[in-house]
Amino acid sequence: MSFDSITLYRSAADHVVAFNDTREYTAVELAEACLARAEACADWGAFLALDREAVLSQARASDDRRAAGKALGPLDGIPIAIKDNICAKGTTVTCASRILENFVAPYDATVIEKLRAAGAVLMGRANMDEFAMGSSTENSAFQNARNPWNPERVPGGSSGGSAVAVAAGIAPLALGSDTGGSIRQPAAFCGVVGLKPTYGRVSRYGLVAYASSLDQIGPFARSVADTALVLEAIAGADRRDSTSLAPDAEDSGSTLSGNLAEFQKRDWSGLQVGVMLPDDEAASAYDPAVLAQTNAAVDFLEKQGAQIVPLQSRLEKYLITIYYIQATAEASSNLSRYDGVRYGQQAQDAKDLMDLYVRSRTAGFGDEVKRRILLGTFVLSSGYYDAYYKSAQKARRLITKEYANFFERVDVILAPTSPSTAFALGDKVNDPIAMYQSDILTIAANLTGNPAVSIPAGADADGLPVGLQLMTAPFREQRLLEIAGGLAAGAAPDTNEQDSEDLKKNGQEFSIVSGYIDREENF
Amino acid sequence: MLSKDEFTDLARLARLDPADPDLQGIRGDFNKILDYVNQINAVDTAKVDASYSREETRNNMRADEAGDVLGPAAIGEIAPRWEAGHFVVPGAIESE
Repeated sequence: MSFDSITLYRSAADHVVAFNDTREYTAVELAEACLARAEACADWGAFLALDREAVLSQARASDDRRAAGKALGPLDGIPIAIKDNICAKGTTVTCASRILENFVAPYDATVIEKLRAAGAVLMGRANMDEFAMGSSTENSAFQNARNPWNPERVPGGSSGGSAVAVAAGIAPLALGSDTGGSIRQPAAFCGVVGLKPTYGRVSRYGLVAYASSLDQIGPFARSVADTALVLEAIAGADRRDSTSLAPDAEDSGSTLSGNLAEFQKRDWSGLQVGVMLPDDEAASAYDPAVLAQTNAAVDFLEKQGAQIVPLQSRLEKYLITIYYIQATAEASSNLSRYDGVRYGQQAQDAKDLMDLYVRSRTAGFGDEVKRRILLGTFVLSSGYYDAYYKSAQKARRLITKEYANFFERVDVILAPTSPSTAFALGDKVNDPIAMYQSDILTIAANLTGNPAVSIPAGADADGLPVGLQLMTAPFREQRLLEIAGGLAAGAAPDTNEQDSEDLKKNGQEFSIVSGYIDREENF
Repeated sequence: MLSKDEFTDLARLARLDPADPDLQGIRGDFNKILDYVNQINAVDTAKVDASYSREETRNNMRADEAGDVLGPAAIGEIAPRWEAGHFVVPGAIESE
């Protein structure tokens, strides 16, 4: 392979794993290509901060390790973009909020420690919705992020910057966080792979909390194999996060990357695939291309010998209600720590302590954060707690039980990731309920704690990517990624070199897009 | 449905300024959101236990030993106002 910056980001797009094996270029060359790409794609708003020297010095350290013959980590020299709500010592962590505008993390999150130990090159602070509250990245206090497939469309959210970085070929990998779909929905909108691991699989120590019973950190990548590689690097019980759990031995993260080759040649016979598709009435709210791609995937699986089991959740129409009660209640409590006293922005000339709290918070938070804090405060308040919060807790228990029953019958559940492809910037930002409804298909995995992955599955007539979601029972990531990888590899014609025009022609066929966007005019 | 006074009380409870222009805008759609989340009352939860934990099948215990903590110097670095090892704030009781 001849070396130039374009082939470099393309090759990184295909397989980080392959780069690890072949080492056809240095970590510094890769970092420089990624930085050039970041500069060329700056108007897509992937980053809130990007320290060029920090990226290059980590890459040099990786090359030095290789030159000295030291043992290399599984991600050695690979750039990875980090969502701006994950603490990395010495870097700004703003959560895309004015209230943390100049906050510098005094410690590393556990996932950052693990990435450093794996040799990864931390690349920039990825844009997001303020405190991870949103589905379009339009709630960032600093700048919008744009969808590389069409810059007039949103990249999804809240981890929009992470998805853009991977889709645009800026960084081969990224970390995001997922509370109601914040990894999977932007992955679907941007045509990349995004995984929300099982609740407890990855430590949240050092993740700025939004809704603690739902939050989970997970990877973005351009292939399922790369996704598994990152998961393996960041997974594991952590004494500093008591909700992180040691999984059963047979599903240990340590076996994840050992079977990557198996992804390509899966035996589908006997696999029980639950399929969740909307009934005729609900289907009118779906983009036809999303349903067409999902049906095409179901046909493919059936032809391969899988057993298709139609499933319908009795509680689906209540998912958003349950989620917004539970998540906002936890957010109102978690965000009470931003009071202008210990860190973050502090209002000047406050007349007393209460005035300091009120003025710091009122100036520091954006609209959506205020809206959710108010709703959370309301559902927890005396007189309303039983009717809202307690009822939502009980309903959540019913959903968890319903999905546990599903997984006694099926190995995996297949559904679209989002009812639509990427919507236009400004389309839903003034209609909170319409924005909340775009999370209808992703919320169940958070409420139940189950792992779920979004994989790219072709495109709509406008060339915008469609995402398919696969979910398994808790701690079955090995199986989940094998199935996702098999589906991606088995069903896809090789569309890696296609641009969005070609995808447009293939709009109604089941295919997998590679996720990187060509933009050669920038070089 | 929340009245204007109730919304003001709610803002105070959330430590937000009721006079904030942003909040006036939020008040406009807040009642719509409350109507939406009222759907929770349609779920039959009469026979469901309220207690919920993702880890109800496991207890994740560890020894009660102090781990690493951030020292005062690191905390002082990120504090908006910090003097002699303490956070500086206005008086907790109104001065008038």
